[in-house]
Amino acid sequence: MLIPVIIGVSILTFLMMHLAPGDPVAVMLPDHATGAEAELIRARLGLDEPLHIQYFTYVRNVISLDFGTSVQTGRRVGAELFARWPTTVDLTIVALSIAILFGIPLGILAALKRASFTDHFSMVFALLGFCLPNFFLALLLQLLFAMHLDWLPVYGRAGPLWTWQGFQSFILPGLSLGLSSAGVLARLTRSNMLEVLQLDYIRTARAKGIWERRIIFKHALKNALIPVTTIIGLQFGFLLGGAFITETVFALPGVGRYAVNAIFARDFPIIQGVTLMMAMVFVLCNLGVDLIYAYLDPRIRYD
Amino acid sequence: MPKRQNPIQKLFKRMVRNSTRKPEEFSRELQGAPQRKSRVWLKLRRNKSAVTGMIIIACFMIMILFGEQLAPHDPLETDYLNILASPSSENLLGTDYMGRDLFSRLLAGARFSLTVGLISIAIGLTVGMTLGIIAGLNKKADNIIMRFIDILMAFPGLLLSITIVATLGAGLQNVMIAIGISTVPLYARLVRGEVLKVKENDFILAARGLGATNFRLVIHHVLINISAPIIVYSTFRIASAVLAASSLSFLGLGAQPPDPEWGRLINEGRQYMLLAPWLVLAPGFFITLAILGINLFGDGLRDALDPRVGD
Repeated sequence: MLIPVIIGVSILTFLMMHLAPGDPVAVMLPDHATGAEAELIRARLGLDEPLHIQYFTYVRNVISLDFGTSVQTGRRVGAELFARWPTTVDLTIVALSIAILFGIPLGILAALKRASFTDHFSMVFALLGFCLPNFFLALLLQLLFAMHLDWLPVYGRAGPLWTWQGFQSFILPGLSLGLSSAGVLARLTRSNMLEVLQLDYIRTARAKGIWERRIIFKHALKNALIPVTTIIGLQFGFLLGGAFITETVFALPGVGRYAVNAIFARDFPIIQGVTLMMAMVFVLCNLGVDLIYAYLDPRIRYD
Repeated sequence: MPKRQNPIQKLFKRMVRNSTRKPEEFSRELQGAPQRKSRVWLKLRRNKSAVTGMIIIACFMIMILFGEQLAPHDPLETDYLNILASPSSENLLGTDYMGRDLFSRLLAGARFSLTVGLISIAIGLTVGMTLGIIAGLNKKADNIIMRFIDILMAFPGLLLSITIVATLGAGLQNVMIAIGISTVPLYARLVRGEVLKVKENDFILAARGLGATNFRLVIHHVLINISAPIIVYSTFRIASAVLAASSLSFLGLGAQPPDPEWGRLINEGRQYMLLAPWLVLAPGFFITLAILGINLFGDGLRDALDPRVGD
């Protein structure tokens, strides 16, 4: 199941350069390049060999973590990717934590106080999170918290996540990326919670005279959150994909911004590397989610 | 001899007598086909969020169709003596860094920002639905198609669209293709699931027994029965396609200058955000409002079309 997907992803990313309209070498080179220079690039990229040989070379290189060299700068793409990857992961972790910390409690509150102010507020919040484009939200946050109030840095990465300054520089990007996921999680938690609270075993627990708080946190929440874990896994991928925009707005030196800059320069090895890396991480995340899901929900294990 | 009533009339009269409802309501119900349509419409009209959504969508429709005629200024006309002007009676939302009237540019930009959503979903729907129907009806094709879909699903979020645009090159047309392709797997999965569900029904067996060809089966029986979930889903997808297209344009991968696409307007206005915040706020508000309108309408439509959703 996993292996064919990984092979398919690698074929698609490999074909990217060949599916691009026009000769890949001509696209990469400036207009005034000579034919000999084009041949040189072609030979260096191995483009003069048959397609399947090229593919196998590509796979062999990727397995040994060699993603080729950047056409623009001539630097190793692999090394650059690994240098930038931590920033993207930090950003995704902050965004996901914000999504979980805001989304799940809001969803629970909304379900417990159905049709109250809290419920309406959290559903409007969820809808807004869904409708606000995250680049617009990012700019709004920059305008308010960085430019007018001057509480947090406007852009850049002041250090790794575990330092105070580094953490500060991740708050606004994390918020702008994570709030839409928070909305999704809030909606889902609310509807699951409402569904579970209607089930018979909750009524039984109530009849037994169990403390209400214990019913909610021990009996209902555990079951309501099982589907939420799946969505958290999917949201992780969604957030990775959103890193392109957030990193560009906040000038964070992650792989997303690296890829966006490479797209304008039509620097294919970089784009291929980033695409492959993100897709692999996403596939592995989904696998992890499936395993956790089976662990959390015994009904699946026994099937 | 007393006039004999036919049994249907008798039943009808008895129903009217025993009920508190007016006879017209019964006759409307008994008319069959038109009743369903009007019921959906009635439900939609009663639904507050659907009405709000429809009003917002109608406003944007007018902008798409007549935006350029309604614009008080030429959206492309530059005026270097009047750059970054604040909102005033002359320039309702101020001017940008080339002195172009922002309000006129927003009106003219609706055509770019919103039609992209419609066209890309049309692409995704056509291809995805075809694949989904084939996969749902044919076991052999199902395996191949679904493996392919699995591969496309491995690219999370915007990644697939960005990769496709990176391959094809920047431009609004390529953005439509990219977003279209990235919605194909979603549609294929949805349609396949619905087809498999519908296929189990006895009326499909009956139609097959009567000698219906596969083509006829698909058009007359399957498509009609899966249309409701697909229409509802498409509404939400259009909203996310508009969002994705404006994101790509914001990155500079979509609409190219001088087209006043909203995402691009925000990107242009970004550098002057502290001096002229309206350059970012106004287009952002328009995008958000459009997406909100479509989503609200989608919510209402789902409630109206899906009898299972009670409250």
